[in-house]
Amino acid sequence: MRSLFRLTRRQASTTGSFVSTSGTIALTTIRSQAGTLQSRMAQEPLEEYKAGGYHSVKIGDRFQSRYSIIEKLGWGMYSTVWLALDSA
Amino acid sequence: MGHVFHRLARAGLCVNSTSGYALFDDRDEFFCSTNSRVALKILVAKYSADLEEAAKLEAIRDCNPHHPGHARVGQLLDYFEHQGPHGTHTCLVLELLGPSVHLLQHATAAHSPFLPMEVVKQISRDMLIAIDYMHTSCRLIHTGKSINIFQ
Repeated sequence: MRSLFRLTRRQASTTGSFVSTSGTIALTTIRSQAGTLQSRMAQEPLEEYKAGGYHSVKIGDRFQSRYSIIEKLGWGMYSTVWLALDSA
Repeated sequence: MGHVFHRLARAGLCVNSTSGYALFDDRDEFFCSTNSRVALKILVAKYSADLEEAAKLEAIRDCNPHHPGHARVGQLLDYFEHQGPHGTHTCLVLELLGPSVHLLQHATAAHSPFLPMEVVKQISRDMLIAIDYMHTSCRLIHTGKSINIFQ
């Protein structure tokens, strides 16, 4: 998907036709779309935060003294996925 | 426009992480300049002993880095175990991916219900090259719901 990312970025910066020509509108639209998509899917079942289940993660948590949690990206029945900053 | 279309990110792979995500905010400069954002996938404790996923991801990373499909697959960067109150969790550090097709389509739906042909062609090409790598080099097939790749 990285090639797609490059392509859309290039299109956005050269033609301006792929996203709104108004930065504010594009930003708001895409953010609300993302919100709609996310809210349509239920979040991970909280009762699975138990022994054998999900690990409780807080924003700002650090793993291996190296990966700092920025925010949640997604989840499945077998995992949660987090955006992290790698300081190494 | 360069300042508008800052960042679209999605993380995860297969059935375990299907949520798309888009972010466009002031922190982007910070994130982009470091080039060190990753997706940290934390498995539930009861399935963490099964390292099959990590093993497959390692195979995908190592079996032929010269194949053009190698760069078109989200790669494993690191993995480790984390001890928590709920048990031992396998943590997979993965490349952060771009937006899903599903999210991209939603994000641009106000302008056109269809993605531009150039984008569709690029996605199709990239996917076929990636699948060829998985099949011919890694000898792996995807047995899940194929719709997942678009979510």
